[in-house]
Amino acid sequence: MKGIKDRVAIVGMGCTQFGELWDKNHRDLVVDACYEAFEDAGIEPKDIQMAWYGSRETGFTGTQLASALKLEYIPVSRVENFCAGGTDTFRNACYAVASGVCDIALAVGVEKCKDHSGGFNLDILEPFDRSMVEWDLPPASQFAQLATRYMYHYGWKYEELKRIFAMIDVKNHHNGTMSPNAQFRREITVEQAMNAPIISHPLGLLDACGVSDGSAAAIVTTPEIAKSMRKDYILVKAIALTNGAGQAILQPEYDFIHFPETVAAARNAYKEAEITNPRQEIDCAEVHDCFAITELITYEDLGFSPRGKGPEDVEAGSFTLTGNLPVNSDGGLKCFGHPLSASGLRMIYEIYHQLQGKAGPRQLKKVDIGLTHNIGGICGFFNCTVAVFGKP
Amino acid sequence: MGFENFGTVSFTAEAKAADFIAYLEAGKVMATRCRQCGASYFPPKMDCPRCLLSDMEWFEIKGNGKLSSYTVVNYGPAGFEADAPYILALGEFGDGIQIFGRLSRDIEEKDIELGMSLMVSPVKLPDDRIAYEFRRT
Repeated sequence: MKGIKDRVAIVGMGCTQFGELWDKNHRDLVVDACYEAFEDAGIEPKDIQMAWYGSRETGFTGTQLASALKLEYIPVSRVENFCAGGTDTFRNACYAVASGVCDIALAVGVEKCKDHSGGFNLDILEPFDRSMVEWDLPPASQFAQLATRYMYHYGWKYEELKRIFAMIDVKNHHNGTMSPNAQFRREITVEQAMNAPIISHPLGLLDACGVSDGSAAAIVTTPEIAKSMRKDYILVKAIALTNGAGQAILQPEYDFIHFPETVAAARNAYKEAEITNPRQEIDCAEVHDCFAITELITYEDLGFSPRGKGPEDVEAGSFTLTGNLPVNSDGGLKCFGHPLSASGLRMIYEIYHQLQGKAGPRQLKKVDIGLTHNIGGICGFFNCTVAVFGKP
Repeated sequence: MGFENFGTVSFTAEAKAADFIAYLEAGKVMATRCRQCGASYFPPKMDCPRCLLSDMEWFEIKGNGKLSSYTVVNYGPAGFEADAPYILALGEFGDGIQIFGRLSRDIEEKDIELGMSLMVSPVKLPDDRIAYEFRRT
């Protein structure tokens, strides 16, 4: 099996402001993200040969993207994979280039969450057939139970683990102050995070990401063509996608303190990228911090921290901008909010700029390898992507 | 047939494990065990995901379990708005049985401790509906 390592290059990216964008519809956002990417790559819409459009909330079929960009009868597929939808959209575009069926492909993710059902609604459809069951477990409450279970399993007291969550929240908010496109751009304190109103015990308001509208886009091509377009193109080293099969329901021993989908996706991505020691070899990462507990568990699932030792790395500051493995250098979902299918491409946008040395005040010193991670769904039914990027 | 009256909101009517409801009405919370490989399942399954056979027997979940996780749902999803706040919990009952369900309303949040002893019992809901819940031992 031939992997995708070094066979696809990113030559242009775009990302809109994320936030409450009442004056723009999804087509406006797609146009803004894509034209930034076209300008970055030095190409025009007519140069795109195939496109993938990631969206859950904003209308059906590839014509949503074709009409926004006035594409001339090229193939456009709509991709939906919940929180992993953005990176899966990107994955499809990369595979098309790697297969040789096209030279230049476009991947776009967009959501208008704020004006659909009053935001990222509490009404969860996935993964159940609506005719079968109503589900009384909204997202915050599901991840909250993982947090409580983490306390039970490792013997953490409420106040102690809340402080760890607060340190993650404070880190991401600090990074977000330097991201012009972020929804929230202000510092918070550990005390504010610990004392914020409880959404679902033990998770408080500031342990949760925002809800926003937004779009991000990537243009990919072969490394050979990329060389003729720019010097600082970025290479795709790996993309792994995993989808749960209901294991949390099927397996009585499911432990609710890790995400098997992340572990499997990381294993596959590290193999493809030829990474043997992720903590040492990865220089920065954008991980799915829908809630503070998700980011904490993800440190362990990705092999950044040993099992149960994520909190020690948080206390040591390992994942801050000055730590040895900065995580969510742009502020993460915490500061950008989470327009589902746009988030994965927003993360790739940050890693792309970190690798190019163009991340402005957030720029990290040494960045040769970057990683992105998305996970969404419910226990046993998570959809997860892990992608790895590097310099030519 | 059998699940029409289970839970707060609609549930599937048809299920192989429909006897679960008849047992609930008789005051018992039941799980299933595979006669071939011995694996136990809650919610009860009539087909074993481990050995893929359908030779299952029912057994009652008796005795005390331990609370291993919980959360307080302050913002209920569609269909459950009027129920909030309510407490969702996970209990370990041994023999590989983990049960996800609500805590009885007579247990207050301030009285909850991880690892506390729980039992699981059928509960009658309004409008002739039935479910199960965790109670104090």
